Amino acid sequence: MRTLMLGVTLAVAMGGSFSAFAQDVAAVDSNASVPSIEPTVGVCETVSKNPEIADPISGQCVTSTGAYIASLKGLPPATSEQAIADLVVALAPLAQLGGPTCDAYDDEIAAAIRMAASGSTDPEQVASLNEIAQTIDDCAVGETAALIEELPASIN
Amino acid sequence: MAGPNLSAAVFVIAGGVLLTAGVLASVREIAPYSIGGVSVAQRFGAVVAGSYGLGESRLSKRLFFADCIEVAGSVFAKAQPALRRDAFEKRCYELARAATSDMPTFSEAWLALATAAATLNDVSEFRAGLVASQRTAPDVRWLAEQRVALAARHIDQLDDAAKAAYRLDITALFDSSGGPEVLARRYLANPREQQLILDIGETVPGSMQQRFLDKVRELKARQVAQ
Repeated sequence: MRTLMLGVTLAVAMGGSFSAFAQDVAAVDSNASVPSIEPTVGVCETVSKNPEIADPISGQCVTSTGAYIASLKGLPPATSEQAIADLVVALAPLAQLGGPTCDAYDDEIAAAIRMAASGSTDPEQVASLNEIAQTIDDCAVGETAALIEELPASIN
Repeated sequence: MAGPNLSAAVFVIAGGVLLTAGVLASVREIAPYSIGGVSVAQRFGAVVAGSYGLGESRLSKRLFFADCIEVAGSVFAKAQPALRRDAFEKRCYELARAATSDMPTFSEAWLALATAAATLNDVSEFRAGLVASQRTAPDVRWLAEQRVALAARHIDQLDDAAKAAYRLDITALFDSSGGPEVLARRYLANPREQQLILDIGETVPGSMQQRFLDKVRELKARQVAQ
């Protein structure tokens, strides 16, 4: 009996020691010094409800994004790059709020994403974020948020 | 006596090992079903962390590779810093290579390999994966749609075989349920792809051309109505 209990305990301990669905933690430790993206996203959402005030050059969304990027200065590159990624992931879907037609609001979202890209020192991330911005500019955002890139002139 | 007690202990320990192995296999098998329904961010994170991989069944493997393909094309994945994004692609790449080696007709695995290879700049695996995926599942609409999108994104890296596969996929989309709408969306969203779609459209039967044109008109009308 004692041996059986030992065996069962051993089996349970081995099974329980494995974490079933361990989720990925952020590539960098989250810490209090990373500014929240919520205020910037909130400003951009407000503009989405009032697209007549959208301005891709000096609009509130672009300005707020620029201020957020400036607030990341001094952070380790990995930290700031992840914060920029989080911001762009939150901003990109806002471009679809106004529907499939292109308007100044989409242009301001694209400009804000380019502004965010300018804060990254990761050239691949910069290129990718600019690609996302271009897709929004081109009004080529599909239903599944997959990007449809432009095709060069010919494949022949 | 030590004999019976030792046998019992060995039996219990062996049972424990088998139980643990079974639990682990079940966890791997169940993972795609539980993780597959959560957000792109969580699926991405689970792949990077290594807690989401291939189960034993073909279906669980298909679900995993579907995530490799779809998550890779998401805004979330594209926005990530290169190191993190590469970690995701490397895991998909390694598992897809192993799967295609074991199962050469596994089209989803070939496409997952091509998708990851494209991001990791492995041009030969990208081309080989694209061609093999088309060859092993030429008539599966979802796969043809993904292959067309992938080929268009990396048009400069296509060799003759990959270009041929690309054209075959567009042809297949003309003939599939839902395919004309996919082509119509690409046609409207991507002016530089329009001529290619039209060139191939001229080679398909009139009924397929009409379905495509009807979809183009329908989507354009929806845009105007918005």
